[in-house]
Amino acid sequence: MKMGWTVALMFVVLTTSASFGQSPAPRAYVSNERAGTVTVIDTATDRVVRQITMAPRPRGLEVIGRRLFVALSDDNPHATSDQDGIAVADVETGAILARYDAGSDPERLVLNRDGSRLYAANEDAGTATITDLKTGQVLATLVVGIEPEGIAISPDERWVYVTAETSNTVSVIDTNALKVVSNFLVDPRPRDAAFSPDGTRAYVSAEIGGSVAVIDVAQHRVIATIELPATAKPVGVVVSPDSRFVYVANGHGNSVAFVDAQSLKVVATVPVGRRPWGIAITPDGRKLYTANGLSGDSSVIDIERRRVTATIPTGAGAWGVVIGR
Amino acid sequence: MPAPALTRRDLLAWMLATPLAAALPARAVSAPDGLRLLVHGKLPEAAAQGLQFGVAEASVTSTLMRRELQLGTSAAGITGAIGVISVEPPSPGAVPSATPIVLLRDVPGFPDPGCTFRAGLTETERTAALERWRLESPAAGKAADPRVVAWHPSLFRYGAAELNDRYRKQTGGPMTSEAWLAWFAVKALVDSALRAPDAPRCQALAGTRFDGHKGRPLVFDPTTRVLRQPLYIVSGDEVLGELLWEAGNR
Repeated sequence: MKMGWTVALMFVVLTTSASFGQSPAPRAYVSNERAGTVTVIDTATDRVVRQITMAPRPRGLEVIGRRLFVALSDDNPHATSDQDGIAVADVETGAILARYDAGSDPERLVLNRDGSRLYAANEDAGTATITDLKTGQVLATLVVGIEPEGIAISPDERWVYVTAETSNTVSVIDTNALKVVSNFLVDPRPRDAAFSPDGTRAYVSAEIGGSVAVIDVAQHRVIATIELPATAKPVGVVVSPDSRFVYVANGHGNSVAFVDAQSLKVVATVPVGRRPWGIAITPDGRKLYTANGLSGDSSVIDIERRRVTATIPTGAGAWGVVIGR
Repeated sequence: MPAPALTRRDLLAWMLATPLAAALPARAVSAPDGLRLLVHGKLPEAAAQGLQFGVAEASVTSTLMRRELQLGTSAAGITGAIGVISVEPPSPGAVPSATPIVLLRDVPGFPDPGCTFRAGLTETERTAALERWRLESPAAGKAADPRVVAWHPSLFRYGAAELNDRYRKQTGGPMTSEAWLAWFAVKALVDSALRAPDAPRCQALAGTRFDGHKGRPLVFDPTTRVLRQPLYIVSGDEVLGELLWEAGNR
């Protein structure tokens, strides 16, 4: 267990959307890896409403109700320190509510719907850690591929996919058995994964492959590969609420690709800020937010018009973005 | 100092000593699932360490894919191997023509009519790359004793920092060009074998895009069978520049 971190034994139950803040609009949360902050954006006005200090090195993040979960880690690979872990902040006050052990060097994380269980990809350890948030106890540490990063949970919460950048693998975790039940290869350097809301497909980006793998979730098998424009270095991937479109943050390609999930063709490419890695979509499916690492901002895309409508400064090393209420 | 001989026993002992390999679940070796990778001749120390590191990492991947990576020397027989890694080419006829050979250095007469691939650079190519960099880079004139390398331990983008860190943790030293080339040779042979298990080995190696932590897909040129890869210009411990090396650059 990590020294210096407070193992959270209290399960913090805060509000749901019904009592959340004063704005009914969802908020976008952008982690800024080098700035050590999370920027909170009101998606109704596209204005920054708060900066929350979350250091060091905030990367992956998730929001449930008022709880903001952020993966933090030190700059020393292969050495677990008390700076590695998952911090939980109150999105309204910025107060740190809890800290959880989630293995060494957690990079991305996902939660189940009620926020009782956390899955984290441990980049330098080559593992995925499953933590019970009610007790703060680590339930399992599973060997996945080398340099794991992307992690996604299926809509029915039965499967968690973990991508591994160096081994080019996706490991499938059975959330009931707490075991890896399958592994499969995708194109080089998989960075992120996303399930379609209908749960039938998953999509895995491959930064060096310049592609997105389409996965049949029932079989845990690659059934197609979406080739992106030559300049694309795909990282973040999200799926529209109706499962009809896939949106890919093209990293060093400085753009977002719109992919028709039926034809698997790129139907539009929208230029954004520099090196978008993170990408998130609002629940109504109308807007995308990117986290642009080299320009330190977030591009807001109007999906229907297929253009950037706002660029919001966030902080140095903008890394990930999620939408929460 | 003469290069140490590399034996299968040495490599397996080293693999078992690594935390990465030890973390994997034990599984019985079954011949049909095996991926036989061979080393031909003696490797210089840096290349031997890179190869050991590559085998440890490739073992993780192959185990996840339910294949058992088996390492041996060409002296034990080559039939059925996914490939051979060597500094110098085996003598004519020593390796079946369908078995890929990845050379870590240039050799006279390369490419041969067989299935030989080359990851390392010739001196002529290094000189040509340096000249090209001098023409393209305004900083070239100020550099003291610039050199062309395939890898440098200070690289950090595209997962290079993580690779360098893993290598340092495993070996205690920095990842040099020779170590990277050997690591990459293992990765290329194992990746291509896992991705295209039923394809002819030469075809699989020539048709696969690899990630070498250099920010772009690495491929073997289909005509020359030389690795297309970014190269780095270094002076002292500083990386001054980068250029892409492709067939025809020379």
